[in-house]
Amino acid sequence: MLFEFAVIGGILLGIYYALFAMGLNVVFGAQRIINLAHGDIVVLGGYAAWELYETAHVSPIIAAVVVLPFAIALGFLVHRYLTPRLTRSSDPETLSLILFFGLSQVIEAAASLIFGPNEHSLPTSALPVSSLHLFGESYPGIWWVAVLVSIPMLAVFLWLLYRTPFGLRVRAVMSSASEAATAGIESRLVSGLFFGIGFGLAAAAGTMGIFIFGGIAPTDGVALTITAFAIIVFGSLGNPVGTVIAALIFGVVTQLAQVYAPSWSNLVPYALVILTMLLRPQGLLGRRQRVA
Amino acid sequence: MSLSARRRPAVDEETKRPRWRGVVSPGMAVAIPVLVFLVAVHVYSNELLLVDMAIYIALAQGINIIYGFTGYLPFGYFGFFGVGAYVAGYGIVHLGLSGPLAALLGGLGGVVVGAVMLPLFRLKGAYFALTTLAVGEALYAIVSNPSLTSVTNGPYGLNLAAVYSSGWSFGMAVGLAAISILAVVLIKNSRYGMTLRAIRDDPYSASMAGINVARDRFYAWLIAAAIAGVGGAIYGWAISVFYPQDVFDVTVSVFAIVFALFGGIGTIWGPTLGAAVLYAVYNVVGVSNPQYFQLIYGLVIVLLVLFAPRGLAGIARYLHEHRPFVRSST
Amino acid sequence: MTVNSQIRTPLLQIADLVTRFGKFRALDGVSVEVGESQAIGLVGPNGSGKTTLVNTVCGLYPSASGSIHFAGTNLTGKRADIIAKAGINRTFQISKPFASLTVRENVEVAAHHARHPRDVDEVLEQTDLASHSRASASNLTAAQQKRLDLARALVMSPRLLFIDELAAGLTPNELQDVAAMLRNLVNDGVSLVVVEHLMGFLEQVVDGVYVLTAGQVIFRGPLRDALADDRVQEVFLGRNDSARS
Repeated sequence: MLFEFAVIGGILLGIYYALFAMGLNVVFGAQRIINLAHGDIVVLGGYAAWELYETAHVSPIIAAVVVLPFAIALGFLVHRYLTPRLTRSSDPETLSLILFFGLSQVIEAAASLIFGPNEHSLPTSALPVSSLHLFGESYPGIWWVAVLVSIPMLAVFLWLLYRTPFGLRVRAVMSSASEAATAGIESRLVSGLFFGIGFGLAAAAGTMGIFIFGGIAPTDGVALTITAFAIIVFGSLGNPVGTVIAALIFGVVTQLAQVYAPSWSNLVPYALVILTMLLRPQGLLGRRQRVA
Repeated sequence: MSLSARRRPAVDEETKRPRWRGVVSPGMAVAIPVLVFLVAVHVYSNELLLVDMAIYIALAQGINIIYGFTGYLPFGYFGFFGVGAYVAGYGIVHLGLSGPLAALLGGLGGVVVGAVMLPLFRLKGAYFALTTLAVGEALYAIVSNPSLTSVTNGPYGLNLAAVYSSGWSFGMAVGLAAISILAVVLIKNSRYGMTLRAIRDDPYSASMAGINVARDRFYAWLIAAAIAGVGGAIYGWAISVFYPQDVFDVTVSVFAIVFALFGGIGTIWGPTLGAAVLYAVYNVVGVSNPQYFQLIYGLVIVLLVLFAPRGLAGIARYLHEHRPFVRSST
Repeated sequence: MTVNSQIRTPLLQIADLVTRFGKFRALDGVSVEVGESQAIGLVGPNGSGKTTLVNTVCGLYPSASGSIHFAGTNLTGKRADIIAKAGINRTFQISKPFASLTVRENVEVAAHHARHPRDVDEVLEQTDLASHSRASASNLTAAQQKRLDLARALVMSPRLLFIDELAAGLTPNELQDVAAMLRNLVNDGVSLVVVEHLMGFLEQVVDGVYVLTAGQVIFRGPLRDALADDRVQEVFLGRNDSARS
C-alpha cells in the first residue's frame, strides 16, 4: 500500500512539478538563459497568495490566476531592459547567469525586508478540500488542488505554444537562438512575451507552492531553482513535453524516497542534476544540445 | 646624462614600462595585505572578523583562478570549503592532528573532491556552474544526513574547541590569503597563465596550439579547490564549533564570487580589494541587517554585469585611460 | 625511382573515414592520401563535408569508423593537442585567435607547447604580422586574423597544414601574396590540404584535388580534369542537364 501511495502521490505532485519547472524551461527557450531567479519568482508567487488570502481572503486558486499578469509584465520588463546588454558582451552565457543570480538576491532581500526572514505558510482551511481518498489511501487536499490548477494552466500553455499563431512565432524564435538575438522588433516582442510567460508560470506555481513545500521563506529560492533545473535538464532543455515527463518521474522518485528513505529524499534533485549532466546531458527526449 | 643613462635600461622596450614594476608591484600585492592584517590585528579587537576577511580574500582569489583564468564559474565552490572544514575537523577529533596539519589535510580533502568532479568539465559554462552547485548541495545533504550521524555527526556538527588557538588560526588565515594572492601573481605572469587564457578564449584553438586543455585547466581547478579546502579548515578551526549549514553554505560561494567580480576578475588586486571592501561593508551593514547587505550586493551584481563587467579594476583602468589632459600612453 | 615513390606510404593516409552527427553521415567513408611536400585541394559544394573532414582529422569531431595515419603513427581518435604535436595543424574558416592575448602572445603560446618550435619573430615576419605583434589579437582585421591562425600553426613546425578558406574576402593582390606564401611552404617541405572555393586560387597552389559531395569522394586527380569531369560538373552546376549549354 505504501508503494501505491508513493506512486499515486508522486504522479499528483509530478503534475504540479511540471507547472513548477515549466517556467524555467520557457525562459530558456526564449533567451537561452538559465533564470537563476526562477525559484525566487516562485517564492514571490507564494507571498502573493499569502497576502491575498490574509488581507482579502482570496482563495489561492484565484491567486494563481491573479499573479499571472503581474509576473508576465515583470518578466517582459526584465527581458526588455536587462538582457539586451548581455548579448553584446564577450561571455553572455556566464554573465547572464551572474546577472540573474544578482536579480535573485535582490528579490530575496526585498522579500525578507517586506515579509521578514521567517517562513510564511497558509492554513489548509484556505483550500476547498482538506483531503481526498483514492484506492483506500488518503491524499492531502492540496495535492488535488495543485493538480486542478496545474492541468488547465499547462493545457492552456501548450495550446498557446502548439496551436496558435503566437506559438508558431515563438517556436520559430526558439529554434534559432542566434537569429532571435539579432532579429527585429517583432521577434523581440514575441520572445519578450514568452519570457514573461515563463515568469508567469513560476509565480502561478508559487501560489500552490506555499502549501506544497509546507510554507515559503525568502531563502528558499536557490533550492527551488535547482529542483526546477533538475527537472528541465532531465526532460531536455527547450522541450516542454520533456519537462512534463521528467516532472512526473521526479515526483514519483521523490515520493518513493520520502516513503522508503525520508532522510535521503532531499538529495533527489541534486542527484538528478549530476547524473543527467554526466550520463545524458541532452536529457531524456533531447537530441544533442549545446550543453556539453 | 648619467641619470638618463641609468634610466634607459630600466625601461622594458617591449612594454615601455619601468622594469622594476614587473617585480615589485606583484610583490606588493602580497606584502601590503599581509602588513595591513598584521597591523590591523593590533588595533582592531575583533580577530575572528579579520580571520574571515583573510579567508574571503583567499576564496575570492580562488574564484579568480578558476573563473578568471578558465572561464568556469563554480557556484558549488562552497562544497570544497565544507569538505575542508569537515576533513580537518575529523583529523583534529579522530586523528589528534594539530590545527595547521589539519588545515593541510582539509586542503587535500578539497583536492580529492575537485578530482572527483573532473568529468563536469565536459559541461559548458552555465551547466557547469549549476551542476557544481548541485554537487555542493548534495555534499551538504550527505554530511548533514541524520542517517550518517555515526560518521559525520550528522546535523550536530563538530566541536573543535579543545584545539582552539587564536594566534595560530589568524596566522594561518593571513598565510592562506598571501599564498592565494601569490598563486595568482605567479599564474598571471607565467607561461601557464598565458596557456590558461588561451584555453579560456578558445579551447579547441588552444588544443591545436599543442595545449593539453583538460590537464592544464584541471590544475587550475585543483589549486582553487585546495584554497577553498584549507580556507574551510581554518574557518572551522577558528570558530571551533560549527554545524553543517555553517560550512556548506551557498553564501560562501556567493560572497567569494561577488567579491571577486566586484574587484575585477583576472586581475591581481581586484579580488583582494573586493573582498576587503565588501566584507567590511558586510560587517557594518550586514551582520545586524543581512537583508540590506543582500540587497546591496544583489544590486551591485546587476549593475556590475550591466555596466562594469571588469569590476573596480575595469573602472580604474577606464579612469586612468581617460584622464583629462593626459594622452593615454602608446 | 618512380615505382619506389609510389609504394612509399603517404604522409597522411585517411581510410574509410566516417563522421556522424546523430544519424546523419557527414563523412561517409572518405579516403584521402597526401604525400610529402604535396598540396592537394578539397573542393565540393557547401555541406559536402570538407570542413568536417578537416575537423575530424584535427581532433575536433570523433570519427565513427575508419582510420587516420600520419607519418607512420595511428592518430585515429587522438586528442587535438597530440595531433598538433605530431605535426598536423590548421587554419579556421572563421578565425579563432586568443582574443585576450596580443598577436605575439598568440604565437608564443603555441611555440611553448610545440615539439619543435620555430622562432616566433621569424614566423611573425613570414606571415606579415611583425608590425602588429603587440596589438591585441581581437583588434586585427579578418584577413590578419586568418594570417594569425597560420602563424600559430607555422610556429609549431607542422609537416601538414589544413588551410580552411584562407582566400575568402581577399583582394586579388592579397590572393597572389597568399598563394605565393603557400607555394613557398610546399617548397620548404610542408604538405597542404587546401579547402577553397576559388578555383583560380587553387590552381596556383595545389597539385591535385579531391572533390567531395554528400560526404563522399567522387573524384581525385588534377584540378583541370576535375573541372572537365561530368559528375563533378553535375555536382557544381546542378542536376538538370538542360541547364548546361
